[in-house]
Amino acid sequence: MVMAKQSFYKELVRSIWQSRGRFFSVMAIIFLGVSFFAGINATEPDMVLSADKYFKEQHLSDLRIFSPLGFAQQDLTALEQLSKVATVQKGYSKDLFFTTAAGTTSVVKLMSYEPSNFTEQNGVNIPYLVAGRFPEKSGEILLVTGIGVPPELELDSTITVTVSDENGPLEYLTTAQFTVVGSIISPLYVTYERGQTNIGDGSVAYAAYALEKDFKLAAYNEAYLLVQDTDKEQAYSTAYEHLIAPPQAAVEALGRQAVLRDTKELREKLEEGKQTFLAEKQLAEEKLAAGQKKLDEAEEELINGEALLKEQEERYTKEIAAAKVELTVGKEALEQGKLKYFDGYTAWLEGYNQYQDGKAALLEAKAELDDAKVRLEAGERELAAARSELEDARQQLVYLQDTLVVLREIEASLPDSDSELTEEEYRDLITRLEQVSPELARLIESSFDYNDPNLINSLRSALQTAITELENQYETGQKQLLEGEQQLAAAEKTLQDNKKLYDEAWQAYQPGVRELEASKVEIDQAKAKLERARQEIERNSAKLWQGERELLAAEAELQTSLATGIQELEAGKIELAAGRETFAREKEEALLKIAEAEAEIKEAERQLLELPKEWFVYTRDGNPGYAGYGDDAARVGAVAKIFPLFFFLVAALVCLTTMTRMIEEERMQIGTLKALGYGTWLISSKYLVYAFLASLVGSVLGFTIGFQLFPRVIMTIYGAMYDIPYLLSPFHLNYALISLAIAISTTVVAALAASLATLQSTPAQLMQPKAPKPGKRIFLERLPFFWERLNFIQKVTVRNIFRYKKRFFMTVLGIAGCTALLLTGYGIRDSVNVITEKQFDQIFLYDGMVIIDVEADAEAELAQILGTKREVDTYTDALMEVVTVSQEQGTHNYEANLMIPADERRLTDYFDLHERQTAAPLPLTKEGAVVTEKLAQLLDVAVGDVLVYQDTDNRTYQITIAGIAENYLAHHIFMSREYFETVTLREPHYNAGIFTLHAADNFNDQQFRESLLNDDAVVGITLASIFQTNFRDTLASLDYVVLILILAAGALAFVVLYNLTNINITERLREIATIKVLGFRDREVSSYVYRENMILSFFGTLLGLVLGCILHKFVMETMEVDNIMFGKSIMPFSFLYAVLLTMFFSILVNFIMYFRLKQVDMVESLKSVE
Amino acid sequence: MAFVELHKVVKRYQMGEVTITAVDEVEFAIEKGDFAVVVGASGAGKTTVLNLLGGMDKLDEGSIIVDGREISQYSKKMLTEYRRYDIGFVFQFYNLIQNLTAKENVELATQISQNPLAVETVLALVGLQDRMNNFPSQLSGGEQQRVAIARALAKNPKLLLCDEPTGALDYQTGKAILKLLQDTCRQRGMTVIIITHNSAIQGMADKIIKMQSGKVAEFIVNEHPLPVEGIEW
Repeated sequence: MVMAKQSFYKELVRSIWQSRGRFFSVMAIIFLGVSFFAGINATEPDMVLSADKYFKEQHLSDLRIFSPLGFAQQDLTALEQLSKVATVQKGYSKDLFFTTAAGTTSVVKLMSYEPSNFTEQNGVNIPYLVAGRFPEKSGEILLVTGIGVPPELELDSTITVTVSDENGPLEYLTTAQFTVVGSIISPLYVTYERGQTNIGDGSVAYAAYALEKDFKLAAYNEAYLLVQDTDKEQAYSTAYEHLIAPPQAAVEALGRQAVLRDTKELREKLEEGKQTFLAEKQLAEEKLAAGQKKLDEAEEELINGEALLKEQEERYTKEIAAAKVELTVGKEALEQGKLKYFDGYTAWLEGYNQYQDGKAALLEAKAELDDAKVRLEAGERELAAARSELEDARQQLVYLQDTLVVLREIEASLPDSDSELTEEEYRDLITRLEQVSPELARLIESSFDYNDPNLINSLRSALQTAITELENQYETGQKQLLEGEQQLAAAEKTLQDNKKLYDEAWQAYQPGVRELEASKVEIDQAKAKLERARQEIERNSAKLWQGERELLAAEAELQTSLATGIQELEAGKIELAAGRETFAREKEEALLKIAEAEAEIKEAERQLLELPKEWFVYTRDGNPGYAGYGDDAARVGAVAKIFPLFFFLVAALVCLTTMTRMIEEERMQIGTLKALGYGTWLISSKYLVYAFLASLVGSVLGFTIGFQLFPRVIMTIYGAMYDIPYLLSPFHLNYALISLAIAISTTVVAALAASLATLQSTPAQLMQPKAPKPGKRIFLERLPFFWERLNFIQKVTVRNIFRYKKRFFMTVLGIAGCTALLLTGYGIRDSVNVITEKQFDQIFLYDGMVIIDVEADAEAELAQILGTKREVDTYTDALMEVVTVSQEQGTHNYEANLMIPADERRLTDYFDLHERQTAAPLPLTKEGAVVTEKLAQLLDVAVGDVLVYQDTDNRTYQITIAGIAENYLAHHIFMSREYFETVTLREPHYNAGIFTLHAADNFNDQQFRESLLNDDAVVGITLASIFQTNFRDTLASLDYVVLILILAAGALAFVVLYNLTNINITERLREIATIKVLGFRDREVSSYVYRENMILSFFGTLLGLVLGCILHKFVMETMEVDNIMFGKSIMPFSFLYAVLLTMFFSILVNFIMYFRLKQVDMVESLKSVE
Repeated sequence: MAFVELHKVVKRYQMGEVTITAVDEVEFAIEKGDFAVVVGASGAGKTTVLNLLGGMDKLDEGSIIVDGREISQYSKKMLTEYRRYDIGFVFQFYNLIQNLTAKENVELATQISQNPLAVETVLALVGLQDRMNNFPSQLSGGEQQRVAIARALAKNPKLLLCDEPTGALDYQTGKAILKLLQDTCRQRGMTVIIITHNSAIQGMADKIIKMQSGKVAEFIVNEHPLPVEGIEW
């Protein structure tokens, strides 16, 4: 037996080696199943472990307390003395604007860093240094890395603090300039979220740490607490939460007392301020009244002055008018006098002219007389001249006679021609000549030189010539003298006549002169009279002119004085107006000041009111991203609960088939061994060992790789969202054992069952070829309408399908499993994606919501806030309140948003409330409230049931459910105003504005948010787009996880199909060989086999779709977190993808198998049946 | 020219390091309408000859001519067509499709033939007209083999190849099957080649090919073949 056993084991090893394809295929399927199952299951704990390690290493605070007023020393002491509190670390925090050198301004949460807190790994929320170093001196800053940090903020770059309020940064800090010395990650911030704030756009962009001494705040305003023993519990665990609850309650109680104490002082101060204000207000009002009175008086005075001026004007105007009349009368009289004067003057002028004419005639006559006289005298003178002339001529004649005598004597005296004349004689001769005719003498003297020999002749000829000429002259003169004597006698006679005529005229002229003198006297008298009249007129005229001038002057004076009066009045008026204006301005200013002071007091009152009545106590859930990480881990865990299990089961199923097939194949050998005397146990142990080995190796490989691969991949994917420096993927004994147990038990049990079943037969039976499974008619043949329509090959196919029922079910189940997995994978994605799509595109139709805080008219305030914004399309006001909902007697309660629209008819513009399945709209009625589906589901209530809710003022009301609306994110309760009033017996106080925006490409949500936040009344803004983006980002990682699931399911689909088809072909090898021998072509052979495969795949896919829907529903229900409802339905495309992928794998497998079929040896047909 | 001719046919199999010559320069010729028997012990290479003749395998040397066509030159595809239209095959273990009735099994063959015989006529010919709607499991071995022969005949092949047709049958049934085959040959002029280790059958053949170690040991032309009734084993 020992030997036999040895050969038995040899056979086992060989059998494994020979069928290594099968062995590895079983191993591979098990490996795939186990690695997926173990890996996905390990992911949730690994995620939590990694986070937990990080939190513990960095001492993540269990409680974070924020006090807006700051902690008093006694509070800190009280905190430290609380039981269960291990450590209290105090610090400062302030939200500020930081501007980089490049000009990027962000909202930053600046926290204090005190190195002494962190010695020897002590301290709370220890920053985890990523780069650089911790700050050592003032002005150095640590940045918490994150997407909000501007990229230019590298190490050693500087940033400047700017503050939005009127106080500069130095109000809060000792320096406004910081240098980046390091970057860290902090367990407080595990996601990209940095929390909310009340400045800027309402969200913190990044967080930073500066040294504690850089802060100038009056008191510590943050405290981080470590609770005792929490380092022994895992984050996110219930045990941890139990540990936290009591100290949290204690801290909250402490906070209430402390705030009450602190606000009491404030309240007193405020009251004081109020009193002062009231007194000052009264004073100001009195002053204003006095000013008003003064102004009124001035106005009255001005009115009186105006009346007086008018009166005076009237009087003087009248007087001037009278004077003007008088003046006109005078002027008329003067005109008449002037006329009279002119008449007299004319008459006088006539007389005068006559006189002048007469005078002129006389003068003419006189002139004639005088002329005549002159002429007479001239004639006398002429006569006298003529007489003297005549005398002269006589004398001349005498003279000539004498000369002639002389000359003749001389001539006569002259010697003969040849006698010589002495010089004396010549001289004497000349002298003698000179006595009578000097000219001749000079002529001779000059013409005849004494020495001239011809002198005496020449003298003689000259003398003779002269004597001749003189004799002529004498004779002429004689004649002329005679004539003159005659003419003179005639002229003397004419003159005597004219003298006589003149005397007669003179006699006639004398009486005319006398007459003229008489008229002249008369005219002169008239002239004198006229002159007197003219003088009179001139005097009167002057007098009138004077009067007129005086009048004009008086009038001008009046005008001037009037103008002056008016001017003065105007000036007075202007002064009054100016006075009024000044008064009004001053009054306004005063009123404004009063209003401001009033507003300030109100603001202070409001602030006081707004000051929380307690400290803000946050558990770790208050850290941005902490809860989200836990939720994400839980979601992965939920997926792991069922999805990989199903996957695993499909894998096990395939192994089972494979093992069964193996045992059937070795039937003959089993029979032989049995015939040889081997025991049942020993024979079957071969298969058990075979199965065990395959599944053991597969499992061990599976979880070894699975524990590393899947958690690491998924955590890396989530790592894009979460800053957790650890990536722990430890060995999970539980999952290893579970998967090992499932894998081994399925395969081993399958092997055992099959071998035992086979071993039941006798060796003889076993060694006989197993009777082929008899063919038989199938029920479909009894349906002639169906059966007869099939052609022969189709009939063969159908019958074949039903012949191998086990294979049928295996294949169908295997394919169904894969399809179901694929569909579930896609379905999860759909369900997750549908949240954002349906929620934001179909249910939440609004684009944003503002929460305002006003006492009075919300409607007007909203009109002011939203109505003025260009971007806003429509808006409506509503009451929006976070309430706590529970069943009537329920223990579970959930937070929900209560929404009362001012006008429920307009609600449809902002929310589309409808039933999910029927899509029937749910209008708000006075009959009851509409609640969202998930809430109804959690509270297990239906339409008509009653819910209880508690509002923020702890008032409790009962509402009846009138409708359950499709909704995916958070819980909502909608009520009509009427129903709200019925339920609460009070009117809703609207505090929210829901709005839609114009579709605009260039819409800048950041700017829009800021523009809204600028309004003091706005306390909160939700923009659907931002919400949607954030939410989508959160779920994007899950998308990747789903992708892994789909890929794994695809791989499984392939392996399963390959294995099943392989078995199918192996089982039918003989049949295939036979039809090949019969002359079936390759394609006919493969279609003979594939037709069945395709039909099985078809049914498998169909079943898979049904299974997938069920699996999907189950997974989604498991995955769901409290305030999110995942989509319930799977998109048509996902069905299509699941079907197409299954078909793809099916075809791929068939394609690969085609070559195997081609290689099937026809010689097989000749072999005996095994 | 003979209907079936084999010329120096050589077929070798590579078994790891060793090359086995299964058929070594086999030569014989069979006339149309002959009833031929290839006989020999296990491993004599008769099945290889059958495979080669049936177009299920390719030879390494030599040539095979069937009805004037050299099938040894055929490609795989042409061989399929050759099997489809020219060859009828009867297996030792009948190789009926269990899931098809007798009639359907025959139909399976006629579906792919060019001018098949009427299914029911053929079934009547093999004496199964009453059982043609039975499944193979409902039929005895002889009946199953009849169905197999009917399936082969229905294709109206040129050559009927039978691999140990009586191997899985008892004596009487075997005889009946042999008679059916001989009758078919004689009455329908069908060329039939039977591969068998049962040398008793050779008496009823026209041509007897005795094989030994891959070679034709003896080729006998039997001028006086016996009727089936005349042979015993």
